[in-house]
Amino acid sequence: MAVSIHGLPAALATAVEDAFSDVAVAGNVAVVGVDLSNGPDLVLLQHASWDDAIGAARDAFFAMQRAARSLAEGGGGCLIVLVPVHGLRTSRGCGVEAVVGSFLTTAAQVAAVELGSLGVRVNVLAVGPLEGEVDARTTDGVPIGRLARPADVGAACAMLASPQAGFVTGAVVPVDGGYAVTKAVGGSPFTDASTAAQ
Amino acid sequence: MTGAARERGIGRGIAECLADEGCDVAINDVGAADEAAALVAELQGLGRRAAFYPADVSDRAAVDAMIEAVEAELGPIDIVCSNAGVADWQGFLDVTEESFDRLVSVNLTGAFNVCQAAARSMVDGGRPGKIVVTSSVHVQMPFGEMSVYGATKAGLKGMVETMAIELAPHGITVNHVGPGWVRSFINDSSPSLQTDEEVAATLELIPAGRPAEPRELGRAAVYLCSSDGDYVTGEYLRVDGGFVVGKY
Repeated sequence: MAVSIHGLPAALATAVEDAFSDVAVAGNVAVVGVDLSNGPDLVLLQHASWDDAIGAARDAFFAMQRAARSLAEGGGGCLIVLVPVHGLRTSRGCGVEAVVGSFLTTAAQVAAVELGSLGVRVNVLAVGPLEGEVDARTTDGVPIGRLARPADVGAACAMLASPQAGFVTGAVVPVDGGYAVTKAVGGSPFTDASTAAQ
Repeated sequence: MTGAARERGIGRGIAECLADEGCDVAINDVGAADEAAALVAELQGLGRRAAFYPADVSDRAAVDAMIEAVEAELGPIDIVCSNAGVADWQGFLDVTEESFDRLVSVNLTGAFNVCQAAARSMVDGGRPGKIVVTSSVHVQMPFGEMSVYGATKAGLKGMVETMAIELAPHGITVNHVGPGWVRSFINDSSPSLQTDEEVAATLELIPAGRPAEPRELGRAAVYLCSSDGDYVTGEYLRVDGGFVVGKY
């Protein structure tokens, strides 16, 4: 078994490595993520910031493609794409994450459609809100009552890579403590960031 | 009205329907000057003011210059329809950087450029307004061989929904329309629509049994741009003859 990791912030990459260190995984695994931050309103966004976000999406897309080729050549495996939960449920101040998260989710689902016959499963984890990303008020909108931790993400990766998930592909799995269901509670926790143009 | 010049195109259908309702229309496209001239003459024949503004929507400076010229010549912009788009068919493993960049720069960044510039003009002028983006059934049902195209359309959904939240306090609505199969030029090169048999097989997938006419998308846009749609924002209005019902 081999696990490759691309594009994750350091804390998440470490957590994913740790999660795979003591579980049995069938076949090879690739984890591709994208590192974005909350920003201003899209209407205020500087063009350079938009271009940076598109560049991050591009980097993740071609990392997914390289990983999928490698997995297919190795006889199959599991590709896991980590996107911001805002790709499922946007909020003010999260426009860039909503755009890139939605973009990569659909790209991953098309990849799942095309690569199933090659033994490559492709799934999406919609992650967040992460500790450090927002202040503690956000927990009001998270049924489990706390923000996502890197270990939560690592554990979900191991779950998708496990033999028990062998028939799961094209899925979008929120790792968000229920945030996507109830995010209306408390309004947007991200509006403080939206007041200043980047 | 971007991507509006081509005959049989969705943009042209939207432009015609908005003109029917009394709108003066700025026609944008990246080329097709002859077709644009014919459309401008057609809309002027309806008694509307109309003009052609060629520009590549992926070029931010060109978009800003276009908005400025439109407002100088036709007046403040009340409605923006971001429709310009391109398609490509490549397997996921074979997607080239060239194709990726072309689709993303026009479909996604182009829409961002146009919507942001127009929204800023509306907000700065203290005017309410309507923004309608052409997305696709791909938003709900991705298709093989079209990973980048589908991804750009899904990205538009994220953009539309976020801008809808941002702009509602300014009286500006932001929505997207979802065409299924339209017999437009963009589909002429679809590898799955080249023979009569392939066309028949595709029609079997559409409960309504026929493709959409561009003006059917136009009527949907008219609703979203009318006062009837004042309380509708962040919404997705599919016009697909039932194509993806039960498939997403």
